[in-house]
Amino acid sequence: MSVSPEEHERALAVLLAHRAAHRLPLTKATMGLRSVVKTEHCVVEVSQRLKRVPTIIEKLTVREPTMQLANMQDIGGCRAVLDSIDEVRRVQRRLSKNRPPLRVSDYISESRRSGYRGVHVVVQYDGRPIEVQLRTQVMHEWAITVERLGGRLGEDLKSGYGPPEVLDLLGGISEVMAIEEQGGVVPTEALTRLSSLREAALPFLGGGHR
Amino acid sequence: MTDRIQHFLLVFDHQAGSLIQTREYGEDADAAIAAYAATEAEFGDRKDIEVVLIGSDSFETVKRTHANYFDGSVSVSKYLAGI
Repeated sequence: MSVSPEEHERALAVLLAHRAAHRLPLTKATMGLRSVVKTEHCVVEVSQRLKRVPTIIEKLTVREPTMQLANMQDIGGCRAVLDSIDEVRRVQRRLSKNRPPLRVSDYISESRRSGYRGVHVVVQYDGRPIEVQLRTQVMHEWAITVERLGGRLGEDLKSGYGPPEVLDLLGGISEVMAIEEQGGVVPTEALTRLSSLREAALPFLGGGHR
Repeated sequence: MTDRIQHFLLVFDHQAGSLIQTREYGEDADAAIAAYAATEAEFGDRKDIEVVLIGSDSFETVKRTHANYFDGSVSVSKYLAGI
C-alpha cells in the first residue's frame, strides 16, 4: 500500500498528538507508583517514558499489525526497580488495590520466551492506559543488557527476534539468574549447558562488551 | 497537579555504544515532548540512533532505571559479563 507524503505527515501528526496526550496521565501514574513504592518502604527508583515513534510504528506495522494506535496500552510507561521479588509482589498488590488494573502480565511466574522477567500492570489514569513495569535489580540487569545488545545488533531480542544462538544464550542466562534469585542452586548440567550456549553465541555477539 | 518530574532527552548511538546527546528540560514537559518529536524527526530512519525521553526525580535515578544507556551504573551479574 503506498502512502503519499501528505498522508504520512497527517498520520505522524495524529501519532504525536496521541502520544503527547499521555503526558499528564503518565506523570500521575509515575507519582502514584512512587508513592506506593515509598509506602512499602522500598528504595524509590522510578522513571517514566513515552514510547518512541519508531517503536510505535514498528509495533503497528510489523509486530502486531492488527493493533490500532488507540488500543496500544504502553504509549506511556513507568518503571520501578526494586530489590526483591517480595518487594515486587507487595508493590503490585498495593497498586492493584489502589486502582483496579486493566491488565496484569506476570512474567515472573512465567517468563517471556526471550527470558524477560518482570510484572507489567496496566492502569488507567484520565481514561488513558499506562503500563507500570515492576522489576527486581536482577531482572533489570538482564533486561538492560539485552536491550543494549539488541541495539548493538539491530535486533529486537527482547521480543524474540535475532540469531537463535544469541536468544538461546539469553534465555539460558535468565533461567539460571531466576533460580539463584529465588534462592535455588543452579544444577551443574545447567551451567555446562550455559557454557556451550555461550560458545555458540560468541560469533554473533557483535564484538563483546563495550 | 504539579509536575515534579525532571525530563531528560537522550540520544544514544548504538554503533558507538554511547550517548551522543543529553538534554535536560527540568519540569517543562511540553518543551521536552516538543524536543522529543523534533529530535526523532532529525534522526529519521537511523536505526543505529535511539532518541528517548525519560522523566524521573533526578538524572541519577535515570542512570539506574535506564542503565542500558550508561556505562557502569549497575553491577552486572557474572552470567552477563562479556556480553
